[in-house]
Amino acid sequence: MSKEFIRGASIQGYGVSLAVGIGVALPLTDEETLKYLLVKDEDIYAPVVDYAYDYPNRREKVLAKVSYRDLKSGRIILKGKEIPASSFSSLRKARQIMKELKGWIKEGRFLLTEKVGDFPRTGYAPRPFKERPL
Amino acid sequence: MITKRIVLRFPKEMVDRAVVWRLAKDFNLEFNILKAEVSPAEEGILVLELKGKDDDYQRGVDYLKKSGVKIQLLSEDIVLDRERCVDCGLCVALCPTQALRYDSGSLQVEFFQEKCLACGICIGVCPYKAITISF
Repeated sequence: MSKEFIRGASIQGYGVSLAVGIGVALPLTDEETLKYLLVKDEDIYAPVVDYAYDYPNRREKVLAKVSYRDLKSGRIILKGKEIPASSFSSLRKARQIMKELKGWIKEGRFLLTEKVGDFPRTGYAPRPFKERPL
Repeated sequence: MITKRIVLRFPKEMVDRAVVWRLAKDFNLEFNILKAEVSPAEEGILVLELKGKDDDYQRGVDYLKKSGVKIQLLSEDIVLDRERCVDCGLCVALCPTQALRYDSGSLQVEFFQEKCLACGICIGVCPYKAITISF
């Protein structure tokens, strides 16, 4: 655990949070996996949601869908208006973690363990959130 | 000709006195008010951009000091702590003057002091408290 990759954070208008950087090794074993790894920024779409009204009122309204390529350009067009866009996660940290993990794998220091157990298949049910009347 | 950004602190007994207009009248200095926090019976803070001839600037600043105003250069006041910053880029879209910019090559947030107006929007919004300001 290093403060390079785990940080307390305070998000204005939202509250206290924790920023966690995680690296996951993806074994590239077949063509299907490769296909998923070749997805580009222009193929990944993110929903635009009104966090001021719709979200706190649990309205699942999606105003638009925009690609990561457009988001990364710093400007998106929404309903004919240009809106500044910025990232909220650190691409630099992501690359840093990737390099770290790559190093471990190359040196043979990243070893897989036996599975600890299965997730239970029965005996649990999702509990939907109950809305309280205002 | 020089352009400098300075922070003026007015002691509370001075806040009702008109001072800044003299910079233009007596010292030919062009001033642009970037930020002002002045309330009666409290210390006042004014962030100014001054533009003018070198010696006029010096005389203007001397005049301010003589009047009892404390002066600091603005560039000493805003700091982006590289240890704390993770380069998430949240501040970049909110910065009104593009003093904070994202370099997609180095993947880092860069701070351009000369563009900064010291508005303070970035300070509250930074989740890691990596940007600090002190007048």
